[in-house]
Amino acid sequence: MVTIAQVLTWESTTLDTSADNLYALRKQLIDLQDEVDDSRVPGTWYGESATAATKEHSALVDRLRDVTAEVARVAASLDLAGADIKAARTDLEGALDVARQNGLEVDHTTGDVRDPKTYDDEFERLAATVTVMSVTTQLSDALKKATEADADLARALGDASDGTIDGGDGTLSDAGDQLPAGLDGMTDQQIAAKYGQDVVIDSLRAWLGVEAELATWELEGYAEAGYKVMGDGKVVMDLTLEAGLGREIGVGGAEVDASAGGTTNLQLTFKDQAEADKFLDGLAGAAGDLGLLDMGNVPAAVAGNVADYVMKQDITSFKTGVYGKASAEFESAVASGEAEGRVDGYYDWVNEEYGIKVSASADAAVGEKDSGLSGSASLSGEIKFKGDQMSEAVFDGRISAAVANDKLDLGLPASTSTGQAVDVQLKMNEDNPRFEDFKAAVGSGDIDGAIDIAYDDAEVTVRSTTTESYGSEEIDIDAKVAELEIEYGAEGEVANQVWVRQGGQGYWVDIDPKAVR
Amino acid sequence: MSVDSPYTGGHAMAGFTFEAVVADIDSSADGMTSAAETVGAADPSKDLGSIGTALAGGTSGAAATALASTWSTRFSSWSTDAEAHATARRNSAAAYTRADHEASQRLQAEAFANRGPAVQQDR
Repeated sequence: MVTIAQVLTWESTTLDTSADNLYALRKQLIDLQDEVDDSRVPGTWYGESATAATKEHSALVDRLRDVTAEVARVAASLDLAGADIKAARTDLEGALDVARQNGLEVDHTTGDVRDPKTYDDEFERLAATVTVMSVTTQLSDALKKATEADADLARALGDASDGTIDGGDGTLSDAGDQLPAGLDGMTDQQIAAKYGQDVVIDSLRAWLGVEAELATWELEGYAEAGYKVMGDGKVVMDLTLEAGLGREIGVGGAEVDASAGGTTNLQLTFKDQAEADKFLDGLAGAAGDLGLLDMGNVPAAVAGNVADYVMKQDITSFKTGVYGKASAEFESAVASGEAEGRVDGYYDWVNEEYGIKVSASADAAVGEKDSGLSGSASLSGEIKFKGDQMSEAVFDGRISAAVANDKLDLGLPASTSTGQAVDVQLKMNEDNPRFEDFKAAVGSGDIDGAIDIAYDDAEVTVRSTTTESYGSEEIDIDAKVAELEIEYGAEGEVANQVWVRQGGQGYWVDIDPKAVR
Repeated sequence: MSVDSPYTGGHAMAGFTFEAVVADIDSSADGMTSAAETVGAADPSKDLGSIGTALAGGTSGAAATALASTWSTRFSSWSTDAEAHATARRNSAAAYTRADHEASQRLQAEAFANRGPAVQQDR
């Protein structure tokens, strides 16, 4: 295992730079597909020499595919090793900080942790021993992570050197689709858990009307429920509620004024589908738990019951509309976009952040011009702020597979389902190495430039989905993710294929939706 | 590589003209030359040299150095082989042209020898 002293000198940025250069080389090699096709033995050429030329051409292309796969595999492995080593070094420095604060001595060669102090008090001695053990474990874990990252990278380099990386027999783009060595041996479920926490696999959206299982919200006239199964198995439920019910729910000191915005939005996160379904099962009973004293004011009593029930859950977001304040609060960030599209603002009482949403209809504001998106293609934008600083930006939309391939070097098959269009989400946040560039572009009103940066370096999720709309009659829905009895409109969406690229990384990971379901 | 005369292949060129076949072969060689130039100009080894320093004491450094050397040879040899293949194709096309020229000369000579007295009377 490597030593603390060694890891403290390791430079993950060098690996990132090497990865970027090799990705550029991969692209050069993949772009040779035209030359490969053009140099096929022409169909007009017959005879022994043509046969020999075909054989030689095939062998050359095979070697080219292999070398493309090698470059792609090494680039992706450098990418992942860079991220892992950066994380290991951060963990290591954190543990050394704790050691320093507690007056512990750490041997940077052996990793031994020693407390030079003496204790008369037994309790203090025990507490110090626990601290030593904790720091030792943190250091050991960080070193293990760094050692494994180095070993994975060395394996990829060795495989490339030995010529054991097979580029297959497809296109050069196929050959260039390689995962980092660090993912070797991981199951589909493990990959989905690692890369799928922000990915919606299946979803059900229901507009709740007069008679629904979640009938409590009809009292306020309108409610919308979203049920999403994420790539890591968690379930996120979005409930858009009337302000009247929102008033009953107090989160983070929220004081909801019905006049401030039309709706409130509540987000609950469940660890799995069983827990989410249990919540829904219990909701109707909790809502209808009325006493004699409630008979004079049933709507308020039901709203109160629902609020009490909801408050017991893991509320991961509670947003109230602040549309009236949006233009003032976010004047500089919205820039030219504000005048051209509808902008909604909100405040999230749980996460203590402001946000603005630019609807898809405001195409000009989110980069329709020169963005390569055409026709019905459009992206909606959402930008979040903590204090005065932008903390995250997300763009969503549906674009053609051809545009996705062009913008993202993705190599989607032309036969991608749903009208050859895919759902794309681009996410930029503070962890992204190009977030400052992105913020500068947004701040100056250059949304097109910001989206181009996002296409290059954002965390990207691409989903090929099947959508099914349900009728407006009262029906029972079994959309694989939930059963809801509703009476208005509902829409289910099932992901057929999902591709994920993490922020600042250059390789794509396929997530198998079946591994999550 | 042997040279197949388009006139002895038995396919009667399937409706293609002789000139078109030669042009197709030359064109296909151009594609291979272009690929050979791109691969030959690439220098993958330069991106690997810094890994040993970046991960001092790790195992990747030595592996990166070995791969840099291997890739230099592998890229270079692919480029050389691809260009050699392109050259062989052009040689085939040229051989076709030569064969055609020689065949043409033979036919003209035979035609001249077979003309007989009637030809001379026309003069």
